[in-house]
Amino acid sequence: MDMSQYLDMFLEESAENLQYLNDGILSLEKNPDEKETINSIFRAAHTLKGMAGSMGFTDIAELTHKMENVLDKFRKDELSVTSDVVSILFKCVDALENMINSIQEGNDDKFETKEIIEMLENIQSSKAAININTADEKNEIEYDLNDYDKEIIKQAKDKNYKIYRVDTTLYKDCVLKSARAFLVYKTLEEAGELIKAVPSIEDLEQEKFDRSFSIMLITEKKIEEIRNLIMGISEIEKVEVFEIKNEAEAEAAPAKEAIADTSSLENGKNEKEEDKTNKKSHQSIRVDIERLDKFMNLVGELVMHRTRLEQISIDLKKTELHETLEQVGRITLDLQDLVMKVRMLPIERVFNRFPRTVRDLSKELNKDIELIIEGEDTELDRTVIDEIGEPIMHLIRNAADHGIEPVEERIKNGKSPKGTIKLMAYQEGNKAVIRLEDDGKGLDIEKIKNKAKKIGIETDGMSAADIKNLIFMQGFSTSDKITDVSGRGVGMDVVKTKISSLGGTVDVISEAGKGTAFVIRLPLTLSIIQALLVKVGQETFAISLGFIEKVINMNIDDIKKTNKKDVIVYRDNIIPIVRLSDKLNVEDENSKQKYVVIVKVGEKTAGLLVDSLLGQQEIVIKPMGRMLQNLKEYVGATILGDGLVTLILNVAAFV
Amino acid sequence: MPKVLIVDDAAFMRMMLKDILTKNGFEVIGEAPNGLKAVEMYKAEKPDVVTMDITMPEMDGIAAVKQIKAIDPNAKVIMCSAMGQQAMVMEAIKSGAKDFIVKPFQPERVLEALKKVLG
Repeated sequence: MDMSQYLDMFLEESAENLQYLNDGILSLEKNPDEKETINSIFRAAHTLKGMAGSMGFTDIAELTHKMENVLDKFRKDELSVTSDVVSILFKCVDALENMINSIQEGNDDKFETKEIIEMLENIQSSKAAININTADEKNEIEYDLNDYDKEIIKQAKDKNYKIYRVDTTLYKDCVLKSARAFLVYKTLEEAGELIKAVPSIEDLEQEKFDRSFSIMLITEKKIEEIRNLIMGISEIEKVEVFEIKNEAEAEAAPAKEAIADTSSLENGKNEKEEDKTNKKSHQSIRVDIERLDKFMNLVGELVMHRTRLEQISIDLKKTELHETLEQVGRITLDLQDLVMKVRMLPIERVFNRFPRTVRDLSKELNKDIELIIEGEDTELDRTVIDEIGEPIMHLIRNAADHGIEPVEERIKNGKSPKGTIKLMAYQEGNKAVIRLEDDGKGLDIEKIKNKAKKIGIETDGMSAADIKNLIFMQGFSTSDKITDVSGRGVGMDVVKTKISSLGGTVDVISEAGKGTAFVIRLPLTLSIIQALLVKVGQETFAISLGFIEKVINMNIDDIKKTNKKDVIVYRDNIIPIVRLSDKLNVEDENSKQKYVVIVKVGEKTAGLLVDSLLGQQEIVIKPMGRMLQNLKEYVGATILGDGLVTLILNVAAFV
Repeated sequence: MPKVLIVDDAAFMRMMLKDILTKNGFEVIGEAPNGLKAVEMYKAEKPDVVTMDITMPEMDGIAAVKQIKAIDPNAKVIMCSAMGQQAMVMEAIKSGAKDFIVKPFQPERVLEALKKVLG
């Protein structure tokens, strides 16, 4: 549904502005005197405030408002940028992030901000806070009262009635404004007697007004009651109620000490700013991701049916049909390409939060760490982008905590005291690669071996690379002490699970004393793949071509046993054999001649034993649905040309 | 949980509204496809608030508001209007509707209207 667009946009833009805040504060810390940086932080806080105010998230609005006050002091050189102040500003950003996340999860923006706000207030010298409603707010609406109106006002006064002027502003995107205005003055009419409206009632009814109007009212009720009545109507942005003491005052714009909505002026300014940026960025539009998902799904269906049609056309042997289908095939291919590209986003979105992470970590761990980011414009599928942040974050924390040594140790070992973490992304064939390197102490093979022994894994005969990859096993943490940052023994396996659930792989390469590198390989797209169809017994399975190195035909007697494991020797390489029939509980065919599909997952190779090959086909991955989601052996299912539902093997689960 | 009666002749719109409401802490105690049925259900169920479509067969939303208001002067009815039904919305407000929401529905607007009407 596209109904939640309003909130979605708020969330999205808030996220953007939070990022500006984060980036800005980071560079402010480095160059405290850069006025342009302060301005950009100020703008981001201001925009956030305006948006949150209009959405009714008062806590966010208040916090950003307080931030603005502090930032304003920077601008005016009344306050200098110190590390303490920057830390507090970062805390604010974190709090804002929490609040926005909470909204995203469907909760409200309530968050304990008192402490932070106090800190902010302490920063400011005791000078009075900046007054938001300054003199430049001017009320345009002026009443032109005739003698009759004045007489009514006078009489009402004499009878101790109150006279109010009620200024109402509707939401910017309010539709059926007349009806809305009608609802307002109908409500007021029930509370008292209307004297006059600006614009006139007729104009209001004919929608001859922008979104503000003012009504003068005689009533016995209190200011607050009137205000609450109007606020009880939906799509009202702001109501101001002023009491009018005498006829002379009635015509002039009232004094501003009355109840006023604080965010109003800021909103006004904000809209102007937004208008400006809108003009610039008209080449792109925001589309709800759900629509794209649906689009993707439909294209998927189309590909599926095309495959079916092709099957039928082959059976029918009709040239015309075949030719047309070829055309359709080309178009679907283009369509597929296009929808894939539309869903791609630069990985920058994920990467740009890490400078902050590394900064915080180096403070926390008392290490000097520099983060170098490369290839942030590499594009990946939106789904991957959404999911990959967490595992990378985990790896960065690990690198900072366990990888990079303390400064003294680095100096002792003749390394530069400053540790470096390098985060790179690039495209490699139909895969995207994310590489995270640190120049720390590297993995300790002996430690891993010991740990492996403790939890009952035999490491004899394993290559050094395989041993290092053990760190991805469940419950495997070699850290002696658990720190706040990492080393809780959960984690690396979670990293691996997450990445394989995205159809990717992760490997570790490490050299003692020199550093560690994690290499994550991810598919560029998730839902349409080239697959090899194989048969195990009576069952058909699909294997993504992305993993397949080779397929060889062999006799079952060629399988040898070493270390209680089945292997084959192929071109001088020992390849472990995975009997799919055992793993999947399928009865295999009782023949000697079998096929081995050699797959490579990251640095690891294995041979999957199957009975026969059915050929290569483009398939659409359909997720398994919630009930079957914990079946690790499959990434999903697909429907083949002949209508048969086939399971797609999760190769990473077998290797 | 506030009890809501949804009145709309389109099952799709009812489903959509129901979805928005149930996800946000409202209880949908009934759905009526026309004004006649709505009045009947209002009597039986006494909902806290009614969302009322305007154009419906049998009995339209405006007539239904009038009848419901006659039964219960404190009834809280929110009109569901499409663009271009301004005059009818005003008519409905005159007849006692408390607020209105405009199709296509934006969940936050729907919720705002309901919450405000319920005070």
